[in-house]
Amino acid sequence: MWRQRCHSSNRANSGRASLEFLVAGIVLFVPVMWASVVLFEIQKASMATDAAARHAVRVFTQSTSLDSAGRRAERAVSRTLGDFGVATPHQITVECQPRSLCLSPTSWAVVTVRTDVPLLGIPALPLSTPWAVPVDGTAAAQVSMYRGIP
Amino acid sequence: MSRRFDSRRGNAPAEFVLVGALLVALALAVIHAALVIHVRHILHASAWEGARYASYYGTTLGDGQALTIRLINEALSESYSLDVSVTEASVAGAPGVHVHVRAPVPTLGLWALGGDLSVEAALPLEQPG
Repeated sequence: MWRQRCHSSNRANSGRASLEFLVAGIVLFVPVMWASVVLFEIQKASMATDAAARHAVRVFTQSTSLDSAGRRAERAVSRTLGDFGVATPHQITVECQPRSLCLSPTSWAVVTVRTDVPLLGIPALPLSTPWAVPVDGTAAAQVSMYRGIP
Repeated sequence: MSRRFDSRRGNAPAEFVLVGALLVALALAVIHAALVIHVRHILHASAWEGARYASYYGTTLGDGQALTIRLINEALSESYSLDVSVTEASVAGAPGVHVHVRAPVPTLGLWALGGDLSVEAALPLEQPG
């Protein structure tokens, strides 16, 4: 009795097995593709913030006044992020060591560039979610010992 | 006899193989697309790094080219750094440096048959002030 019931129910289902396998397999690839798109966005943002921080710290320490240094570093960061195709808003933090002697010879400057990479940030889809991965890059440089001496 | 020649039962392993092959092909396509994007990101970052280095006061265009080639060699392979050109160019109205990398598209892993993956980076030269 049991064998017969089992047999008949198998017969009814047997034709769909490969179709289910195919559809399930393709559907399971959607999150894989989504994850790879998001991971590449994060990789891009990681490279961009790192490059922007290194460029900005160089520009900052080569400047002659604190005012122009900040402005030029800001411009360097937005240019770099734009070159890498990172369009999300960013924050720049400049920390001087020692704190009171910004841009004085042999002092250090530490620039941190930070941006948030949105999950579901697929360019073709106008979707946005509150979830984002913060990505930052930090670079440090020393102001030349001979700065200000022509 | 009827069980042996039931077409729906007999096809299952064959269908499994066919569908499995299709899904494996899809998986390989996804992995390969990811690899191409990765290679493109690496090439762009290396080109940009070379442009940044070449835009400094004390460095030449050749230094930037050498840095780009070294970065690509370390991250990918030497067959991707064969065509790296660094030239002087005007960037947003200011004198600058322009790096252009042409590399093959990876075909099987990093082994490449041909194709043309082209990335460029440009930066203005360092200005006093």
